[in-house]
This record gives sequence, C-alpha cells and structure tokens, in this order.
Amino acid sequence: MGGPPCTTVSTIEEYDYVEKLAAEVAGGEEELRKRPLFWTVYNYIGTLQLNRFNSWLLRASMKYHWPIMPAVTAAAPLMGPAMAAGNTAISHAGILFMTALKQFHDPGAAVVPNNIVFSLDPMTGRGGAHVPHFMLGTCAMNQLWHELYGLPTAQYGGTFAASLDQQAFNLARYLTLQIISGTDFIFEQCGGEAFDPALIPICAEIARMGRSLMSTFHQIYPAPENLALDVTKEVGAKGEKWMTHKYNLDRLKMFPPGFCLDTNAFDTWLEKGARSWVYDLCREKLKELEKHEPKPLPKDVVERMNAIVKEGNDKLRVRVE
Amino acid sequence: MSANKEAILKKLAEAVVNFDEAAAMAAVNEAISAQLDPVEAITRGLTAGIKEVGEKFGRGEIPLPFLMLAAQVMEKATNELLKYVPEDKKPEPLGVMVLGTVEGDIHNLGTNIVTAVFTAAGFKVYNIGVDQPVENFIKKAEEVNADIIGASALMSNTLQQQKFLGEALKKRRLRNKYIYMVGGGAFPGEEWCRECGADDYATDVMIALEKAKRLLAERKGERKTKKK
Repeated sequence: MGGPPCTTVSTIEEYDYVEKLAAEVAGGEEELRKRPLFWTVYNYIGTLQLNRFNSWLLRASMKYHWPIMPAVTAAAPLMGPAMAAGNTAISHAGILFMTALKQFHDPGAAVVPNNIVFSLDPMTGRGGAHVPHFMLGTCAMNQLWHELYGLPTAQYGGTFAASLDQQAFNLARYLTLQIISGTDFIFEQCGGEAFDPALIPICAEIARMGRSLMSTFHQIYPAPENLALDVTKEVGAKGEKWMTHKYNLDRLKMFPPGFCLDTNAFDTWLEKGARSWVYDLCREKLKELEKHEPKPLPKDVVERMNAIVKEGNDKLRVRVE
Repeated sequence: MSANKEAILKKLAEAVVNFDEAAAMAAVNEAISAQLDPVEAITRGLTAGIKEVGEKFGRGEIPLPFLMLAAQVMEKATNELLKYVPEDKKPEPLGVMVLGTVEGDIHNLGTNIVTAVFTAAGFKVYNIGVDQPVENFIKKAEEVNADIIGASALMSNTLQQQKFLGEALKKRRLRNKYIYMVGGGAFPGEEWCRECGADDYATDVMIALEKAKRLLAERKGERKTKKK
C-alpha cells in the first residue's frame, strides 16, 4: 500500500481519508454505519489537556457523527494527585467536559466514558495502571457513571510492560477488575513497543476467562436454585453424587477448559518439558492461527484503497525543507 | 582547613543525596565563608552527591520524584556557588544540549526529567518545550552552538517528527555538526533510531546521560584526530 499516510500534526483532511478507507473495507458508507464503531479519544497527560491529534480526532468525530469513548485522566503521581479520589475527580470532570463538547457540536451522538484513573510507575515514569489503589479509582468511576447517570461505561487495559509474562499478568488482573466492576465495553491494548504475536493467544485465553466470568454473574446471588439446598439435602454429607448429579452436569459449561493452559501436576509438567505458558504454549498455539487464511479483499477494493492512500499521501505528506 | 574542607564537601554531597535544599544552601554559605574554591565545591561536593543519587536511581532504590528533587537542589546550589567564580574561570559545561518534544506532542514529563538530570550532571540544557516544529530545534541549536539535539516523542503518531528532524538536518548539511539523540516513552528501539538518522536513543534518563557523554567523548576524540 506504499506505507501509512503520514502527516505532520494531523488535520481534519486526514480523517476524510480514514473515513474513505473504512467505507471501502466495509463495502460502502451504509455498511460502515451498521458497525458498532467508537472512536477513542485519549488524554492521559494532565488536567484537561488535549493534544492536537486528539483534538482533530474529536473534531472529525463531530464531522462524521461517530460515537466516541473519551478517556481523560491525569498521570499521577508525577502529573496528577497521588490519591485515587483526587484523580478520579479529575477524570470525571474531564469526561464530563468532553461529553459536553461533543454534545454541543454533535447533538445526540453517543458518548461512552472510557473510565480510567491512570497512574505512572514513580520508579520509571512509565505507565503503571496496575497500581493497586488506582484500581479502586477505576471501580469508583464505573459506579459513578452507572449509578449517578445510568449510563454504560468502557475501559481499556494495557500491557504496561516489556516482558511477555508481565504483560500477560497485567492484562489478566486488569481485565478481571474491569469485569467485576461491571464495565460494559472492555478492550485491551498491547504495548506497541513490545508486541509479540504470542499476545494473541494470551489475550484469547484472558478474554475467554472474562467472557465466562461475565456470563456467570447471576449464579452468585443466594437464590434457592443457586444455593441448591434441596439437592444438597438429597446428596447428603459425603457428597459423592455431586459428580454425576444432573444439577451439576447441567452446569458444567460454567467450568470451561483453558484455551491453551497446562493444568498438569508438577511431575507430569516436568516430564513433558516444563514448558511455560506465555513463551511456549501460547507461541505453539500461534501455529494454528498461521493456518488461517483470511479472505482477500476483492481486487477492485484494493485498487480503490491504494488510490485513496496515494491521493492522501500526495496531498498530506510532509515535505522536509 | 583540610579537615574542615572535607567536612564541607561532605555536607554538600549529603545535602544533594538527601534532596535537602536548606542544608545545601547552608553548606554553600559555609563553603564561601571558608573560602573554598567554588568550582571544587561543585565538582567534589555537589557532583559527588548527584552521582550517588543517579546510581541509586539506576539500581531502582529511589523513585523519580526524588531524583528530580536532588537535581533541583544541585542546580540551585551550583548557581549560588557560580556567583563567586569569575566569568573567565567559570567551568565549561560538559556539553550544550537543545532538547524538546516534537510537533504534535505535548508530553513533557520525559524532557523535564532529562533537563534536570543533564543539568545536574554538568550539561547546559536549553529545553525548548513541547509541540516544537523541526525548524525550532535547528534554529535554537544554531543559536546556542549546541553539541547535542535531543528530540522526544511519546506517541507513536508523533515519532515521525524525529525522522523529519533527522532528514532536515541532513538536507541542510548540518547532520554532522550535531549529535542527534532521540527518545521517549514509546520509543520503538534501535531500528527506528537508524531510520531517524540519529546517533543514539534512550528511554531511560541515566542511559541517555551515559550515551550522551560517550558520544561527546567520541566527537571530541574525532576533532583531536582531525587537528593532528
């Protein structure tokens, strides 16, 4: 395709080409509009700062009437208050501001707050959304938007690490928190600087766990069916019959197998090569994905996309003086 | 006198290590009263302290804010001591650096850290701020006769600007005049550094400092060889 269209500081015109390309891939503007697309507008710098890229992104969302997921938060403790309550208040104010701006210029467009209360690792200055007390801020934001406004919420989780095992760890714990705090839209972002294709099966494993967790919320309520008092009485104290009892057999799907987890006992695991999950099993799983051949785009679509990219590049390319 | 001198130098170093501005300024006054050589007070007192802080940070023993505090104390005490040094005897900076965040990007955490640490290490840093077009980096570097140009970008979509700066320097035949360093929180690594035509890169301030010192030493070595 001749490389990505690259501009200096972005303009509304850049998004005209993005829109055209998206419509080509979707099979036309009408088809594109049927898709549940949201534009995310991130702002993790300081209180109510918006960089120029995101400013244009926001304006383009107004021009094309795309729903947005604004994320506004300060990067504590280096550029925001160290307490989660303070940073939650800033995040809340920022999202309200961006929502108001969007509604003023593009009335009626959907806005789903991308609730994140962000922090940096004070040892390195790098993103560290894993900081425990800030996770509470994220939960508080969800509660605020759900209970105060009755609105759905979105959240993203990042890898925030270079090593694959630590990325998996961060993703898993962040996703679990997001699900338990009732997030309606969840998406995961993998660190661009350390992307490893093995993150695809890692994310699939974590997403499978997440989906299972989300679909089983109902069973924790102490209703008679969930408490299974009658069946417990019937089975009795020893409990042998639970394994084959219809009550449990009907609910076995709530215990899904892992995507590529190794649940062997220690000695068996050693005997089979002591393979790690992230570095061995997930990479091995990739071999299955490699067999997948995506349906190619029709030739005429590719040609039209190339023409759009060429036109965009010619018009917007930076010329170094 | 000698024992007293060593005690004052120790106090200066300790004040930086403890990021204690009041103690640092008291030690500075003591050094002036005792007629210590202010340059020696900087190089053997304050610098010893900031070196220790840098090493602690490098080992992951102290968080960033304390490194920044120590650098601020160092800068303030250094400026005070330099008031007592005649103009012609003021020590030359280790190097002159023009630093900024590229156009389209308003993240300044990294450049502020680099400014503080490099200044504390003896560099003269001109931090031109955020959202700076290529032209401004070059203009400032020419104006202050810089040794190093440093361009920071946090976002993947502003990384391109680092390449444009490298290209602009090349196009104006200025590329060999300056050491060009690139970096930032999301810097993709060696390959992108080469793509930008930069001399080196870093995502960690202490590594950046070591690299800058090495590149400067290499350049000075080259100049000496050329003179011969």
